[in-house]
Amino acid sequence: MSDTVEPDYVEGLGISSGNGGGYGLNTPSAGDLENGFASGPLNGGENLGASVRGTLDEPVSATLKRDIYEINGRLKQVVYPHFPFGAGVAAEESEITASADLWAPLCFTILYALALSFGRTLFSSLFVLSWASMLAMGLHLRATKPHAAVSLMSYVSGTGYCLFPQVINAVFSSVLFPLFVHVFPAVSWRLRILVLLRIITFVLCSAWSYKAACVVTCSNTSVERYPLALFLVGLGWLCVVL
Amino acid sequence: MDDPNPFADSHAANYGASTKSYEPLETPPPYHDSAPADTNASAGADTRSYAHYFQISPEQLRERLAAALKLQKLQPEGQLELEPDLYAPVWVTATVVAALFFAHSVRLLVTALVHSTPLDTVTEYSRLTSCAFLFYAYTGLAPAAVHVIAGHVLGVRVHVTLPALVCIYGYANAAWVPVAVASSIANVLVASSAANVFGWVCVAAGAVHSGAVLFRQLRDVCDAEDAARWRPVLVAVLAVHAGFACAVKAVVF
Repeated sequence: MSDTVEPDYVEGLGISSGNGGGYGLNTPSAGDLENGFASGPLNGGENLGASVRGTLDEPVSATLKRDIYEINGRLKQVVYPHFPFGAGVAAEESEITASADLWAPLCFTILYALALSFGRTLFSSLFVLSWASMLAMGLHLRATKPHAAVSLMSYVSGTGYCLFPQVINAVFSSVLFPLFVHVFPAVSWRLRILVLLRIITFVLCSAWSYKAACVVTCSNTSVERYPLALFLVGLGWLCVVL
Repeated sequence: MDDPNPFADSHAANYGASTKSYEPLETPPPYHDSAPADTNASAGADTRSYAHYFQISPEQLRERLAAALKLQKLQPEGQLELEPDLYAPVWVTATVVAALFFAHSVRLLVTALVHSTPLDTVTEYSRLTSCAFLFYAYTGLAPAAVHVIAGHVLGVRVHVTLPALVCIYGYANAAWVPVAVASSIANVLVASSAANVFGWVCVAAGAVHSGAVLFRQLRDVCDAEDAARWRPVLVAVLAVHAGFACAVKAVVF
């Protein structure tokens, strides 16, 4: 009896992620099937390639690296093109329905709450506030656009990706800028410079995330856009005052 | 062993051979729909039940907000009943909470910049949650209480539904936004010794304006024969509104 445990998931047979973050069904070739199923049980799994063995045997670093690449690929679609000074790219409805993962929004909310609660007991309330904001934005979009074929989870995921600029805002405002202002010898000017830097980052990141959210969720009217602006600017303002 | 081995290939291949062969039923299945099933139909149906309250055009929203700020009727002239929307109760109230929080945090920020003292951030954050809880609880529970007391306890026939009542309370909250903006500007200019007095002035201005919107909308929502029974409800609405204003002073200003 073999000691190895065969994985249930075989890459190439199941749903695998594409390069751009979208999902598609990959049909296995005849060679894959022959190598995977025929040689596996006979050789006790010793000669199985990494692609056939799935993700059970791969190191955790490889798994994390793949996830980060996937999140980055989706950010390239959703967030990066809408930087305030860049030329925006018109989004299509398929962009938001292409993927509805909550893995990236979870990472972003954890990072946002962790950065802002640096040394304070605010993590849980900020984490809940971030998720409540995303859920409220999703429900608002679902209510104002009831005939669009986009699910609530897709809206939550899309707006969750638009939190990425606020994560940058939080990390800069609470971690990097306080370290940076220590180079100034005058203590009285440290807080003033810190607040000034925070306000500049707040304006830039809030405009960035609002623009991305409007384009990704295809919000065209002020009725649809206003709640997105309210939440994203509010989350950004917390980075200034906390 | 005479029993067949259920794991043998031959048994699996002949599975069901001894049972009766399949014959199509003459009666139709219990439910038959000739049209192909719409996959979005069920998802759309459950959202449509509440989504129509959020279907408001930007022009209509602007007109209603302007009417609330100018102390005019929310509905057009000659129209008795208000066509309710829940966009304003949700998002105008959120705007009020954000504006009040912004006004207060700007004052703290300016104080910290002038005196170069660190911000009291945890207190500031708890103020935001308390303010949100207070405004949403008032905007949701007060109309529900009016609806239950007037309709079910006193038996007054009012021409206003529960969503319309919530809508009126939502638009009445709009008065707090200019108050918050004014207080954020004045907080920077007014000395800290006069901040308490100025806070009471701000709360009084917001409470009187929003109370006037409520009074104007709810004054004539019942028939003439029920007017005597409706008057105590109206007085109670304004009394509860005054209590709410005191709570706003305690939490925010």
